[in-house]
Amino acid sequence: MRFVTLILLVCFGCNKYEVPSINVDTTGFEPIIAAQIESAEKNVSAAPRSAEAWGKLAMLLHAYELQEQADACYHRAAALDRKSPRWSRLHDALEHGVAPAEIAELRIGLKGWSDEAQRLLSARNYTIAAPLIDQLIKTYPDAPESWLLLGRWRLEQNDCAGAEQALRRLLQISPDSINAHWQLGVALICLERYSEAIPILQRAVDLKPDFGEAHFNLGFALARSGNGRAAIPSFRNAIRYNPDLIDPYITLADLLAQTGETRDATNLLARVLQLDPEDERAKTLLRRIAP
Amino acid sequence: MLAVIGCSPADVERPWLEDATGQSGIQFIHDTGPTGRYLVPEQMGSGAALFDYDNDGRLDIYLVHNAGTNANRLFHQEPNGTFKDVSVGSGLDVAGYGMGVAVGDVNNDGLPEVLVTEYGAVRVFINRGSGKFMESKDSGLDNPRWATSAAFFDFNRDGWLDLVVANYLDYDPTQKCTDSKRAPEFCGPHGFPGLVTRLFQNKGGRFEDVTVASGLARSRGPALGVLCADFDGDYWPDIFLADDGRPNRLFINKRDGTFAEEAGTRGIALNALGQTAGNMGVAMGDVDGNGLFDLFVTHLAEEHHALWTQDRRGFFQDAAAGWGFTKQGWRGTGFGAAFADFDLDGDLDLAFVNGRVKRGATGGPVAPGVNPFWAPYAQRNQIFANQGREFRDISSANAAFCGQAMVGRSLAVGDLDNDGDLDLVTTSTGGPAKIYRNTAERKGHWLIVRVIDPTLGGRDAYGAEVNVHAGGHRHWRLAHPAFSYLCSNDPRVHFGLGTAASFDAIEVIWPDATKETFPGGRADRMIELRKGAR
Repeated sequence: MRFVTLILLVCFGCNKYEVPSINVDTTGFEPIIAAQIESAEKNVSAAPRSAEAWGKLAMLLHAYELQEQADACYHRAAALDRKSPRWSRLHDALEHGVAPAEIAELRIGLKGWSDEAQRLLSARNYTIAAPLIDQLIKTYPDAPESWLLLGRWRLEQNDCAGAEQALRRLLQISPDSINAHWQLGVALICLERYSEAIPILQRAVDLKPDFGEAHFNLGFALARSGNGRAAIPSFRNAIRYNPDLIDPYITLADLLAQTGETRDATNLLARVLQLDPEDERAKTLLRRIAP
Repeated sequence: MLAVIGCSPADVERPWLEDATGQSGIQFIHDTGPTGRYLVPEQMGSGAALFDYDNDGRLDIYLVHNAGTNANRLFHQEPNGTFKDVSVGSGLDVAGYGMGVAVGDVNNDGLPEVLVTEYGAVRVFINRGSGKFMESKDSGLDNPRWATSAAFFDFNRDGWLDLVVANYLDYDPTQKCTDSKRAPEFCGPHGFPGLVTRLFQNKGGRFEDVTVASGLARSRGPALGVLCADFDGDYWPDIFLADDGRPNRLFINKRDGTFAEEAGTRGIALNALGQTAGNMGVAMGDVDGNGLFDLFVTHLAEEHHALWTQDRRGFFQDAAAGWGFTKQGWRGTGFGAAFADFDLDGDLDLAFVNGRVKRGATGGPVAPGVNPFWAPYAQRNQIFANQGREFRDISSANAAFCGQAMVGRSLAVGDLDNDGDLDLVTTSTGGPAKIYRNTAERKGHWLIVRVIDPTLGGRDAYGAEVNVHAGGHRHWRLAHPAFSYLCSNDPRVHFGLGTAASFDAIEVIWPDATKETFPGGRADRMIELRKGAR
């Protein structure tokens, strides 16, 4: 536990603002974050009349949700530089619980970096995400977040072998991770190792029975490994849990058509066309089943 | 003359609500199961239903738990106005990961059924009369996802109440989240995909899933609130879904069994700044008296609540700033909400409950009965007076309702004591359910209308629009109990008439779009209007 107390004893020209006493409790923070805050505090101690120094400290405290202390520092920054609207604007954001981009990007450490990497992956900003994920793996090799992000990144890069490696490592750390099982199953399907994918995906749906996508992937792996009959309940489960997923309808319809169950198959394809009237796969299959 | 410095008129007015929980006989502490697991469904709360299950003219109350093991409770209102726990043997004393409640007479026998939404299921309980319910195992309802709010409504106008079930997130319980100090915290909605909202068509008492055929499966979203009403003025009910952290969805009924999503074009998907927000509870009413309903949706504390007003039928604009919601001093994270004319002055006021989704300052004392684990999530409720063109926060003058913090989730509204004004029932995560009786100074007259269709077993005509003409004004209400968050409200419609001691006429637009005008009469009473009785 570490307490840093900054008490400003000087009167700064005796302005009407109360001189703040900032108690920053960095207990529970990662050392890397505590050091980041400490460095900003040193800047304030070195230049106690610098609005910039107070503002930067405020921003950091804001980023790590130390509301009360951030509030005092913003006040101080605004009092020292009355012309700049920046500190008041950020203070306003703090009061409303908002962390604008310039605040969010100050966050470092496992949570800060993994949140940012996730955001970048969702935005398909792979170039910026890559070094961040690399940094996470190096700094936090025991954190599930690091390997899950690496696995996801590699899958999205079609590096299925690399993804498998990352996700197997993740399963060592976090053996009940639903996402790890599902993504590993997807990676194994991508590598056409269907029989290996089956138990992994089965575990995913055992852990999360309403996981529609995993049911579909399980059905797909079963069908590809030559066990079409066993795949049917998985496809039906996928449809039951996620009626908006088109692929299970089409794959199931194809399977049923091959076994002569054309009526069922036709009904499934009709539902695909209700979901997407332009779906060419459904149209083609329908023409083949009922020319 | 004595001036009260710093006190506005609202501050010195008699409080509008008193906490009547103690004398009501309701004792209910919401159970979320073991704490500390940080499973998101635990924190989203559970609902309440105000309904008259035995047709004795008094509202009864049903309250839901989320623990998985603790049974939900049914309270019967006795002739003296107190509530008696009649759960045991009622058939509604079931346990599960309970979320919401919807009430509707699905078999047109004049007795309301109860639907409970759960994390992973929906369950319908058929009202057998004499206070007995039986869970239907062959209802045709299959919703194996995280169901939240639900509403019965007759989307195809065939006389049978259909059902829409809002689903929230494709939640992964093994995904853990932390705060900035890496302490466990509940995950927000953004890490999980939203789900398809399901539509079930009632085919004579048995339901068929028409989610795909209706077009609802074409868009996913994390839906928390639901409202069924005619948004575009064609007399066919549409479906509004309040989506948490995503654009809202509005499914417009195309009158052929299908719906088209039109929230964006109708101005109701995003707020005034074109941003998404944590849309949660929904209140609906004509706040500006222009004959068109408006919509209030509660949001996170760091956002502004939205008030979408309707100036042209079917098109909405976020007018929260104009109505004073962006300048209020303190905001909570709002959930259940309702418009109600608490003081009978003729315009609709607003109440909503607040409760955090992340730990933080409560901003006031925490109410007794709140589990200490949930205390850092507690916030006080708020109440606003409609002052013509602006809502004014009068929470400080309403200590009973707003003075103590709870993890507010559901808010149901109804005239519990049949005295002509609206009372409230609230629920809180890991805390007590509360009964608030209306004690507001009466600034006018009132009317309560129940609309019934005798050809449909005498059930409430959900979806009927009721217009009361009184004192030169037209007061519009929708007869539908499903709004707010996870709850079912009084199915009767309540009107504050201001100074009008009588009304000139009541025009009812029935759910099948037929119109009927009933003659005027004196105010300050409850009336029952039967379709075709004119």
